[in-house]
Parts: sequence; structure tokens; C-alpha cells
Amino acid sequence: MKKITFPHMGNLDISARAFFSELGFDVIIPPPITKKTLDLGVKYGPEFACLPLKINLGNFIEAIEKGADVIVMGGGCGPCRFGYYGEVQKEILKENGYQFEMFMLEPNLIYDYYQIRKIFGKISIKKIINAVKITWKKIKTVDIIHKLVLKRRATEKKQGQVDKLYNKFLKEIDKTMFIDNIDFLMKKYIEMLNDTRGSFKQGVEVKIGIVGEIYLVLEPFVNLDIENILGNLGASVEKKIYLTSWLEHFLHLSYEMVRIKSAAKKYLKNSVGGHGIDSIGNTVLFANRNFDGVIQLAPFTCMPEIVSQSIIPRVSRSENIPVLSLFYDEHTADAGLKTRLEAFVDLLIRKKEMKGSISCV
Amino acid sequence: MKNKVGIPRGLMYYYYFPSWKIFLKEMGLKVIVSPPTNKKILDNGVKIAVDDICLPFKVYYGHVLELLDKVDYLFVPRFISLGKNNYVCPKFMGLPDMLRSHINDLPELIEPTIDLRKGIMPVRTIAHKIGKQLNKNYITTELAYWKAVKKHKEFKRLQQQGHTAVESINLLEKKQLTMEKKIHNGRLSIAVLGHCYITNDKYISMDMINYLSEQDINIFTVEMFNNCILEKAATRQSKKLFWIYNREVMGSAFHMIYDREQVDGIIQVTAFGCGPDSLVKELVEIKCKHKSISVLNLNLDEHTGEAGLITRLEAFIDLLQRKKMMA
Repeated sequence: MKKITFPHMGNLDISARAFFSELGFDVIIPPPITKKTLDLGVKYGPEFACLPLKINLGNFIEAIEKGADVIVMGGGCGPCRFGYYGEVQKEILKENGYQFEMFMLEPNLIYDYYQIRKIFGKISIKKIINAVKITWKKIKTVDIIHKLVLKRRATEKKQGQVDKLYNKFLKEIDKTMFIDNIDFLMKKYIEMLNDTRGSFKQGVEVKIGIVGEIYLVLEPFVNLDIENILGNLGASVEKKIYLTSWLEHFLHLSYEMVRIKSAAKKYLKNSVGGHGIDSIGNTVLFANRNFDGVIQLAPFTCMPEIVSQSIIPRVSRSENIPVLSLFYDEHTADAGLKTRLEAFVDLLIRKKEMKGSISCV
Repeated sequence: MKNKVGIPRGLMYYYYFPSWKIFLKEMGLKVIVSPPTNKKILDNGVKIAVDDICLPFKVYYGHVLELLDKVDYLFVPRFISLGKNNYVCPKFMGLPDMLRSHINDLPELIEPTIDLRKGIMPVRTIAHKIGKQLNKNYITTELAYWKAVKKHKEFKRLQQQGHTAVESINLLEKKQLTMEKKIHNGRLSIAVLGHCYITNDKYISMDMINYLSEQDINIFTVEMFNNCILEKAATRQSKKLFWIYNREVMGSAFHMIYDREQVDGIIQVTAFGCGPDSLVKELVEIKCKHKSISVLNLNLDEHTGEAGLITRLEAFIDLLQRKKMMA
């Protein structure tokens, strides 16, 4: 029996495990990302490749050492570098003597189906549909709870209360395999999270939107758990990029992209790959919804985000919204980040005071 | 009357300048090119650019600043794709928008969107769009377009006879249409592989090409190969590389490694912060290792000192000569 593995990205492991085990495969989840994973990636990966490539490479090495022999990786056809990750990682791993098969998911479902059959033998379509159903449900539920967690952290009564609930929820949903159970879990945790609601830690509501490259936005190890730092500073955070929104866009199921494009049109006329145009469009949309500030996250040398980073100052000036661009590499330390975020939140509160809309004690 | 158009001497200048020039000239404009890159241009560009963007873009910004108050139009095409299933680097796709964000009082931009994935004769359509922007009639545009196409063919032919892009541009200025370049047997052959806008810019590449030619070395650069050969060589990689200009670089590397016996070494010239190159470099390096061909990786940024670079080149040449004598 072949053992499947896949890279980490935020809560992807929950849904990916559900999908592959529902299809009846053995799944080996790479060990959680640690400093060791990063070190492995940096050691073997190309020097100027972006951070996600290195971390994924580390994931694969650790998973292969645990016994995995099939790697499932996302593919694509550009212009972001992500589409070519798999190919480069395959070459590097083979070069270093690792034995495995790699299967790249391309944006072409028929091609993917035949690829899966080639590696794993026959699978009935009914089984696939079943697996997709439960996976989709899980992804959606996790994202809904996550959105709530981001809001509730700013108003929790006891420090760390929300995180505790969130971690418990992730463990429980990972175990259930029934759709009804997932619904029940969702209701239960929404109620429990709403119960934690107290007053704002800073006395006022500071709303911060997070935009940027999907891997940095979703993976807490890489972004140094920025949403937690912000939550503890009393800011309620909103993200626009989730697995659900990405999949919906990928399968052309949502109008979100049309909205983003029209919002960004004044500043950036066409898509630049990755989430470049999303960063611009969402910044404008956040500004329209009277958010206090926006933070852009991206890995060092990320091409689409560099384009947005160049344009964002103009957006920030004319939409009158402060934006903080953070580029992460393998050396970023969390003390420096914390200081910058504290200063940013302070600035936003001061700005609110100046407007005279609120009075701070 | 607005009639002066500026072309910054950077990025796609090295791929298409002769045809752009004749096209804009036929449209009744006076073409002004910024001077070759110098320290002032680079410094100005670095000042306005974001830190992380790659070196050639910083240089390009500098050239734009240089032209700012001398011209009425600025020719800044927005490259997206040059055919089915290929792209250019995302930074090209946002180039006019990035300029607008960095520089406040830009002259009117001529910013054709070069997206050749759909349509019949898409380049001709683009030409007519420019014609409309400049208020020229249909026939003038059509004639200008065909002249530009012819010029581009001449430009390509000169390059394939063994001249670098800048040499070919200079030959065309002198109205010289063919000139064979000889490949001397018995000399070292080195492939200098990198984007045209890096290897041909004398300032950022520290005039590497001239230095090597003075050492009596046969030099091959990416622009000297026929596209079909490169395309074929690039298919050695199982997944198709979707950045077209990097596919050319990778194709020429693979062509040198596998199809030509006489190449002694490969110099990979990349710019600091170039995204696609960071991946392609790795793939080429692995292939070179298998065939035991020597590679020198040069990563250029705005701080590179000339002395350090020359020392590395000298050492590399010494190594290749030693290797050749041993064989």
C-alpha cells in the first residue's frame, strides 16, 4: 500500500487527511513545521527561492523519513513560481537520493483523475464524490470557525481562552468523519466562542485586514503567528484569503475575483499572478469598509507581491488607509515583528483619537 | 505639438529596440533613448524602488527618471504573454502601474498590453491600438507595422550570426545587415547565460562580455541561438517552464550541455532578486553536475564591485584552461 504525504499549509492537513483517508489511502502527515523543517529546506533549497518552497521541501524530507512514498503537490501554469515548485523539489530530492513518486495537481481535473489512476489504480467516481463532500464540509467549517476566532481574540475575557477553544476544535474536527457531526461541532464551538466575549482590550475596536500571499497568510509557523500577536494587542483581524476562497476561485465558483479586480482597476490593470491583484483589491475594499489598517504579508523575493508592494503606497495615500508591508525570510525573528506590530497598532489608535470619533482614557 | 517619445534603455529594450524605433519613427515621433546605464541612473532608480525588486527594474526606473522632462510620451509596454501557455515574469505585467505609483508627474504613457495568447495577428492589433492613441490613420500604422516586423527579422538574423543584442543594435544603426562572426577552434568556449537585459548592460554586468572576448574566448549568449533549438532543448525538463524568457535561458543551457561538444564552461549571470532565475539556476546546476561541466554562478546586485567579479572570472578561466590541458 502506498503512503501519501502532502505539504503543510495552515489547516490544510485536516482536509487533506480527510480526503485521502476517505478514498482509502494511507496518509502520512509530515511532522508539524519546526526550526528543523526550515533548516532542512534552507540546506537543500535554492538560495533565492521563496520561503514556502523551502518549508515544503523540509516537509517532504521529514515525511519521506517517516515512510511516505507518494508526494502530492499543487501545480499550476504560472506566472507565480508556485506552479514550478513541484518540478524543482522533485529534482532536488532525487539528486539527494530520496526515493518517492510525485504527483502534481494541475488545474485540469481530467488530467488529474488519470494521474491518480496511474499511481493508485482504479478508484470509483462515487468514492471520489463522497470524499470531496466531506472534505469540502471540513474546509468550510474550519474556515468559518477561524474567522470567528480572529474576531473574538480581541475581546476575550481571559488571556488565551480563545486559542484553547480553537485548538480543541481542530483536534475534534480532525477525528470526526461524519457530516452531521461536523455541523454539530460547528454550532457548539460558535456558541462557546461567542461566550468568551468581553470588552475590547484597548478600549476601542481596532480593525485590521490582512492581505498578501496565501502561504504566509495561512501558515502560522511562517508568519510567526501574526494574528495571535495582533489579537493579544486587542486588534480584531480579518483575512480574505482562505482555502475555501482559493478553491472557489480555482474552480470558478465565486464572483469574489470580479469584485477584487474592479476595486483594483484604478491602481493595477491586470492580474499579476499569485495573489498580487488580491492584495491591491482587498486593500481598497478594506478601506471602503472603514478598516483602521491593513497588513500585507509576503515571502522575500515573492514576485507578485513585490508588484503590489510597489503599488500599495499609492493606494494607501489615495484611499487614506495605513498599510504595513512585511516581507518574511528564514531569519525573521519574532521580537522585531512584535515591536513593529505594537507600533502599528498604537499608530492606528492614535489616528482614531485624532479623528475625534472616540476618546481614549 | 507632442512629438518626442522616450524609450528607457533597460529590460525589453535589448529584445525589441530596433523594431520599436522604426515603428515609432514611422508614426511621426522623434525617438529619444536614455543614455547607457551609469552610476547616477542606478542610484536614482534604487532611491525610488522598493528594496526587494530585482536589479534590472531598479535600473529601468533610473532610465525613466532620466527621460522624464525630455519627452512628451514614454513607451512602456506591459508584457503579459508571448503565446499559448507561457508568461513573462509578473513584474513586467505591472510595470506601468508600478511606475505610476513611484513617479508622480509622468508624461503620457504609451502602454500597449502585449498578450499574444488569443486572436489573429495579435501584434498587428496592438500596433493599431497604438495608432489610435497617437491619432494616426490606418495606412500609416499598417506600413509602420510591417517595417517594424522586417526590422525585427534583420535584428534576429544578426544575433544568430553570433552578435550580442547591443552589437546587433549598433550594426543596424550603421545599416549593416549581415556580418558573420567566426568561431575560433582551439580557444576556450564559454556560454554566458542570463537575461539579455543583464548581460548586455555594460554597467550592471561590469562589461563582462568584452572582458571575456579580450581574453580570446568564444562566447555564446542566449540571443545567439535559434528559438526552435532552444524550445527543443528546453523540453528535456519534464514540466514545461512557463516563463518564456527563462525558458530561453534554460534551453540554451541545456543545448550547450547536451548538444554541443565544444563548450568548456557555463557562466550563469543572474540579478539579485530575480524570481524565475532562482529556480532555473538550480535545475541547470544539477544537469551540469551530471555531465561534469564547470559552472560559475554570478549574482549581481547594486553593490557588486568590479575587482571581485574580475577575480572570479580570472579564476574560472584558469580552471577551464587547466581542465582543457589535462584532457
